[in-house]
Amino acid sequence: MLKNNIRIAIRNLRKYKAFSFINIIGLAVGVACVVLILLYVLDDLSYENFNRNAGRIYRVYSSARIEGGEMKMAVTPPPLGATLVREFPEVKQYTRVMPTANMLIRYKNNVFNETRFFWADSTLFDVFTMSFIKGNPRTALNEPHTVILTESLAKKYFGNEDPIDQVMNFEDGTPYTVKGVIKDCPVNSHFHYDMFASMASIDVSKANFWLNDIFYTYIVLKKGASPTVLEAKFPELIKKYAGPQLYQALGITMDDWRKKGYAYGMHLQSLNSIHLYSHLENEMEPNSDIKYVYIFSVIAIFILLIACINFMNLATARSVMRSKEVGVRKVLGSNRAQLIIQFLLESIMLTFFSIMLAIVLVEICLPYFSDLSGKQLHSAYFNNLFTIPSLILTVLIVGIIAGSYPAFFLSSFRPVKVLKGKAIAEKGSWFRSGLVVFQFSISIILFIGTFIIDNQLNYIQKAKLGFNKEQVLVVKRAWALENHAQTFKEALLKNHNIINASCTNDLPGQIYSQTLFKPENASSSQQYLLATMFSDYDFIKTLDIKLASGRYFSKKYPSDSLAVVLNQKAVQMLDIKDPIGKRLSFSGSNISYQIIGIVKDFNFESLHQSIRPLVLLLNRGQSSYMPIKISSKNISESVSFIKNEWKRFVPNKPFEYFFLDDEFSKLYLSEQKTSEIFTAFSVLAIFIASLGLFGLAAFTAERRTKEIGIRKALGASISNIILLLSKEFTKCVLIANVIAWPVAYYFMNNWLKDFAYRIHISLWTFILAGCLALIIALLTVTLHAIKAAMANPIKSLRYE
Amino acid sequence: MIKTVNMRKIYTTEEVETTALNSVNIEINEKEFVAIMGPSGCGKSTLLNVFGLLDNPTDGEFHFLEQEVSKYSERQRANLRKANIGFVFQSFNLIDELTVYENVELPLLYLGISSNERNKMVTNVLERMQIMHRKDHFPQQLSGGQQQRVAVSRAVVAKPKLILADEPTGNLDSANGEEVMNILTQLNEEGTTIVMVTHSPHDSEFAHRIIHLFDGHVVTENYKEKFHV
Ligand SMILES: Nc1ncnc2c1ncn2[C@@H]1O[C@H](COP(=O)(O)OP(=O)(O)O)[C@@H](O)[C@H]1O
Ligand SMILES: [Mg+2]
Repeated sequence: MLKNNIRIAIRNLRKYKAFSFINIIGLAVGVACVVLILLYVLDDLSYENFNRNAGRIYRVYSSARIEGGEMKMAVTPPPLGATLVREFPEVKQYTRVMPTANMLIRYKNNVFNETRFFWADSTLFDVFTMSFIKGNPRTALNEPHTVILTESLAKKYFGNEDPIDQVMNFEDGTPYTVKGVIKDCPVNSHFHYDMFASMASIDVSKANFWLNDIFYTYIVLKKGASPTVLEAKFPELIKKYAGPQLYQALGITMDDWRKKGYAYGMHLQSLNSIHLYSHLENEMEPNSDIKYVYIFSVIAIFILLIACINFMNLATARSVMRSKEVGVRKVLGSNRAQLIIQFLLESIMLTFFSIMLAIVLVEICLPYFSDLSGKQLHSAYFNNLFTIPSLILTVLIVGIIAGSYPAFFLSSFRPVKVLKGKAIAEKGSWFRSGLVVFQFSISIILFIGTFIIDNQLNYIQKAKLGFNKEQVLVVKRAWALENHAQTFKEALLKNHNIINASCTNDLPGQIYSQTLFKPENASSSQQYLLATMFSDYDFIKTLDIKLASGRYFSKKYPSDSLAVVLNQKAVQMLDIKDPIGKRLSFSGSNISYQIIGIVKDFNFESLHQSIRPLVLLLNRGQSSYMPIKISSKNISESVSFIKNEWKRFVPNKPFEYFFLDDEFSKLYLSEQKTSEIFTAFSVLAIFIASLGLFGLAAFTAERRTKEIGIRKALGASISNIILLLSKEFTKCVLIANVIAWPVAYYFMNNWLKDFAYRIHISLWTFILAGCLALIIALLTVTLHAIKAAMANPIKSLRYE
Repeated sequence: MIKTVNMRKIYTTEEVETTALNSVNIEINEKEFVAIMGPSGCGKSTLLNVFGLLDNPTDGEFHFLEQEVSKYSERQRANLRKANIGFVFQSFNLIDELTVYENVELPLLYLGISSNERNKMVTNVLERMQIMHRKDHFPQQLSGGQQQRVAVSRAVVAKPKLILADEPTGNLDSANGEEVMNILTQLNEEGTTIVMVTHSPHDSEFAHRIIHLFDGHVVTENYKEKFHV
């Protein structure tokens, strides 16, 4: 019996090639999408898994609530880790790390700029799992001026030589000895390293500051210890250690300070949660978001559903053609169960072919998808014991889901009616229409989502930021110029393509610091948290930031080293009338700064944030960046000119630069990626839905051949017929719009809430998406309608 | 073998009620060959469907093989049907996706007969119907006469007690029709009961008895001397 069933199933697949093709392709694309998304999601969920103690590792983060708002920082005070181990027995070990973004390192004649450089405590390897290839984890980072490198980095510096005990020089000339080589950094880690230097080398690691958040502190708890119980003990600890320092700085006890509604606290976050859930200030790298895991999973399920619906719809529609078979089988004694098995078997076989094809598609698409998602994804089917069983399970489940409706529908036919040639298909048609409506609703929702994300990204990229980021080349590591910075700048300005240049420590789009300020005459506990930017005289000219009143720093006023410029938000927050000439001081300091000017508000962070209060100060030391405004003409010449000048001034320091607008768009990298993935999958969704519609339309046209023949014989025109056949589907798409619009509005409105600056959702977006879906549907359907309408009626009438 | 008492069949659709059969009292004995005649729409096919256990009568009694089956469930009827009844249709109703051999084999599959046995039975009947050389062809590749021979083969392969034929020659030319009638006669002579719907007076000559239907009623029954109760 089964053999007979299989044989018939194969023959059926072969005979209805178009049907099988549409189903296999549709389902394969659907399954391939799901597999890709699954790989993406699994990758996101696998972060930190390489750490043996991952479940017991926590990062401590700090929070502060003061005038000007609340903030949560990923960094903590220097003595925190050691104190936790000392005070609480359940804390087994701690380690601290601190990155330095650009570290110039020399070995013999080679100089490299290391961007993944960290200072770390010797206990690093007690917390994180890092395998040593050479050296001893117990002692590697014990001494000052020791480093460990990853395998690749060791190769870069030493080639085939033994790296152990080799000496390399840091930028300030200090020699560091290599004490270990570890395996390269795993991709799925929330921070990526090439090199660690011993924490004992830097003084700040020993500082007893409790009010300065500097280091990333990680702790390992003893087995069975509860993080919430531990966390509850933190406020007392803060009071004990930070309290005296607070009193010294502000003259107020911790209790009184807390009573005023202010707060300073430490909290725990599990290592596993960082990648998807942590969005603190000062994250080492931008993290992903669980939101996207959900969004993509839902899209995957929807795409699979659309593909399954295709199958159900086509199989049911085709039932008209199979009704005779069902009738004859029933007359000959088949019972319902046997028929159901027959149809399920066909659908399972179809699914099987689809999944085989899907695997091929995944293999082909994986490199592109990796690119798109910015992840290194591997299918590695056969590394996993569960692959084969889960594939078989998927085939069965999808096959049964997709095949069940047609199977039950078809097997319920009454043989007498069927053999009489009565059309039974009408019964299922509302259900089929419902499924089409569902498919198109999803497609339209995805369309609207794509449009809105795209619009918003366009908007933030083109938005007026209050400064000009175009044609600004930024030289990194400007401190390498040492005291030649000024002459270098002057040399550049001699070229007429160089319009302006500035030496600055801070730039829009880069991490900046925030400091507590106290306005003149305010009580000592009245503190305001303000963002700070240190720059030189030419900063606002170079970036085209506008003054609202007063003036900017100028060489003409030597006293400007004790002057500040505020933005309008800061004036509002500090609530100063006629601010020019008034004074401010750093909290806990007696030196006061005079306000000399107010700049118009400009967006120095991503547009997720509204503009914060800002203080601009004159930078007197060395600077991190040199932004250079260049003419829009001859850009490449200007770049090479700047590069050559750099070579002339500091021949053995690498020249590194970026364009400010590029760097600014990186702030939206995660949205950019989401948008691209979103677009790709909505196109696929509508493709699969159209494929189904195409098949469905073919069957409708075929089913109504006789009707069309009669109508034509009676004088209907071709356009009448096309209208007749398209009407049904047009109705479906219109209803789909009604369902899709509110759903899409709800979700996209929520998504937009993440942006302080956002577009208004326009009705046109919805109309556009709806029309697009309608056009695609009509094009698909009309193709068949035209074919059916053009056919000679005599042919179809003779048919019966 | 078949006995109906005041049997009625009423079709109810949304708009109208059609009385397809009205107080039908018919008795058909084993080994009889009965032809049913009458104008189009008089209820011939309906009667055959009830006889074939494809449909239940609306009321009245219907005895099949000494059992009162008019209230049987679909499943009970299916079981009774597959063991005892073979069908031959005007439009053949062969499954296009199956070969000649497989079409004929199908009833045996549903009876759960072993593969060896099936092979013997199918080969036997195909040879007898002289269609063995076409056993691997699909129905569409055969002429009408050949298709009907396959349909008859399928109807008789499980050796049913009763064969129901609804206008078996309706789609055939006279030579092929003649052949099918000869086969049916031969089967009848071997002991199979046959009930046949036909429009053709010539075909009805082959039967022992002709039942005339008009508007759902039995009008006349003509016995031929060939067969005596
Ligand atoms: N499934 C049905 N639903 C409603 N009416 C039916 C159905 N089948 C047959 N009829 C009606 O019953 C009557 C008898 O039909 P039928 O037995 O097919 O006639 P015949 O085979 O003698 O041409 C006709 O009037 C027909 O329209
Ligand atoms: Mg009839």
